[in-house]
Amino acid sequence: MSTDVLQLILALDVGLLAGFLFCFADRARGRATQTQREQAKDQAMLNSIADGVLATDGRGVVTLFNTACTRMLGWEPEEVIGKKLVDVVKMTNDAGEEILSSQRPLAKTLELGLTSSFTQRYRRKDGSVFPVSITVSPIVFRGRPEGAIAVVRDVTKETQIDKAKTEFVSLASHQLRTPISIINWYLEAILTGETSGLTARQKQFLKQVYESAGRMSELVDTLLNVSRLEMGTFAMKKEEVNLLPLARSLVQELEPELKRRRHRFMFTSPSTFPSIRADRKLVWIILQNLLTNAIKYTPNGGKIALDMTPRGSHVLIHVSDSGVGIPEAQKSRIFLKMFRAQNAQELDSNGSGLGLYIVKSIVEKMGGTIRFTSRIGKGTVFRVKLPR
Amino acid sequence: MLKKCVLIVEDEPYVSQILKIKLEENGFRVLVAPNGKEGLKMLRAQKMDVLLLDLLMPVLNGFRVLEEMQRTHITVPTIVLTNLGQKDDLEQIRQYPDVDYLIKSDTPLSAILEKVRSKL
Repeated sequence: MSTDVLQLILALDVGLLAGFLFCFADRARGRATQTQREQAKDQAMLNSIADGVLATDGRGVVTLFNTACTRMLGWEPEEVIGKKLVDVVKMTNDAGEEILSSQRPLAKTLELGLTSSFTQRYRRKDGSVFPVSITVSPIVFRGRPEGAIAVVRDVTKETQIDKAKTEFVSLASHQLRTPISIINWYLEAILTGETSGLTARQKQFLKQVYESAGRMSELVDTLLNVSRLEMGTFAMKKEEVNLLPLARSLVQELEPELKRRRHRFMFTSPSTFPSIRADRKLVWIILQNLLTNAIKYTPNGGKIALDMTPRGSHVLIHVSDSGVGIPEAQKSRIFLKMFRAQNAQELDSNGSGLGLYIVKSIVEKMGGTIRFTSRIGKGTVFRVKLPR
Repeated sequence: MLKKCVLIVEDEPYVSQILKIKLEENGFRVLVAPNGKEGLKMLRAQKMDVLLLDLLMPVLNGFRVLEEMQRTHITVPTIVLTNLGQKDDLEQIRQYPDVDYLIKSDTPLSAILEKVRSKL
């Protein structure tokens, strides 16, 4: 091969190499620009989101704080980024007490690596407090949480609407009570007084109207109880309550329905029972709801039992039935407001889905707990534990 | 025997009318006042055996009637008959030792009659 040819090949090679290197550098430059473009796009996207988005590293130090966060909380990104979130943005509960950093959603997500959502209150830079709904998700790398992303939504408006709605229900229910009592009393007077002028059919119709007015009255009471629980205006009168006579008189009231459905009823408790410090009316509501549910959701000829036992500083109240049970997939929602299990809806279309919600709220307000076990088609046991 | 006298202080005429009928059927003498001011006037004028008192009324409400009765030492066994039932209302009523409390829409006429009898 002549030198000329060799030189030519070499030149070509160098040229190719140079070309290749040039291309590579150009591509790398392109990629860098591309990364910057992506970053700019991400930034624009984060800033255009109406919800606050912030990210932290594994120690809870803020690495990202979008425009909505600044708008909501009053801090500029540079005041927060590089600092621990819990040191800058304080969180309080409904009573205005500060939530310890270890109890905050972020700490839990970083520790357990789980996504969690809840509603709390944030304190702004200017000291004012507002309700937020927060979802915190872990950033997981090779199976380990290395940080977290929080999406924060200001729910001031929703809270206000919810409050207005509760107040409206309360007002409407109060206003309904007077005409309902008038209907009830006049019908009662007719039905228990002079009815000789009425035909049997007319009397029967009036009875049905009276029963329906009674049901309406119960529904209004239930709605009022819900709105009181939600507005925090639920009256609690602490008195010595003797559970035995209370339960007996409730059972007496339920006797006709137990008979009509041919249920066998068992009431067990020690013959002497310590009294508890509680509100009689609330204990009544708890027992009444659990027992009426048991009666209602048990096919005719079933078994219902009420068992009361004092235990240490508590009393245990168990209400069990041989009824339809609570479907496995719906167990977690059974205490939610207005939730009714599918089989309950099929059995009785009249329920409001408020009973167990009220029971749970009252039990917890009294410092107690409520749990249940249930097997579909076999029955359910509700276990209430109340302090004495 | 002289009939026992019940004073009903209630602004809703349908309510006072049926209460009056029920009580009269059961041997009571019944007087009705449409508001707190009239009610207090009647309480001062003659001795009543039982007072049935509504809370929300025009001119002078039931809370003010209770205050005024306490201030001027008018002692009558009293049953507050109302549809209020908020925490604050109940707490106000509980300050008066001789006053009972019934929710209208939860209480049948027969139970009101029973309560009036228990107050005698």
